[in-house]
Amino acid sequence: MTHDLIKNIVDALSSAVTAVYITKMQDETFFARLSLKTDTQEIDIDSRPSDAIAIAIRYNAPIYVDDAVIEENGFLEEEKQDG
Amino acid sequence: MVEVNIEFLTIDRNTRTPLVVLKEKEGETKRILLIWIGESEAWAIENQLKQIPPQRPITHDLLKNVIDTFSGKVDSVCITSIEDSTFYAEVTLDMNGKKFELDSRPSDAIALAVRCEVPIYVEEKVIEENGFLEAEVKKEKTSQRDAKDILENLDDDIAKHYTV
Repeated sequence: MTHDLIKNIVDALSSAVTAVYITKMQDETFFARLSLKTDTQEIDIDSRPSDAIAIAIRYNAPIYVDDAVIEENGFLEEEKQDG
Repeated sequence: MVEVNIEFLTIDRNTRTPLVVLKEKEGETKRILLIWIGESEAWAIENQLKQIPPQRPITHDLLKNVIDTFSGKVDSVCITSIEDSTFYAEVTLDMNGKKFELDSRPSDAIALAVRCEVPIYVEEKVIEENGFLEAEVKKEKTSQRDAKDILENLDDDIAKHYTV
């Protein structure tokens, strides 16, 4: 799969994805970024949330959502069940 | 190893599966290799060939961005083998002079190659055994003018052989 290839490339670069972040929502599109770590640096790369999540699970990396994003777009489990 | 161009992408009328048609770049009798690929990969190749800028980076753009971020460079990609009707490919990466060869699906390798504008190769053995000449797949009609006609007239036996 394409995400495995991405992981293989990140691994080949002696790097690893340490976390992914759902950072904002704009015009009904969520934005995300990957956080990568090497021996010497930490790098963020812009991504779609779907790709970020697909990569996060390959690294067992945590998935974070920005407070404002979940506050404005999230809902409580109970709310969903009631609906 | 021979260099190929992406002749075109189409949908296999029998399997409804996207199909990338690779054609040998050099030589008098240019051989053709057909590779059946997934829909999203076909879309990733097609959009890049048509220079349609994505609103958000799609997966293969992310792949390239990761490589770029680390100052890496894709040298080339190569369709290396076929096993049980599945093609295998490799992406050759150059990281500050150090070369890496990474296992890849041909579709991902091609989607990456078109983004990085690097050559696509096919191992001689692979194209020798699985490729065919344009003339072979054309029925005896004179109306065929371009390569797009090939698929319309793909010989059923050949189609069956390649069907995934």
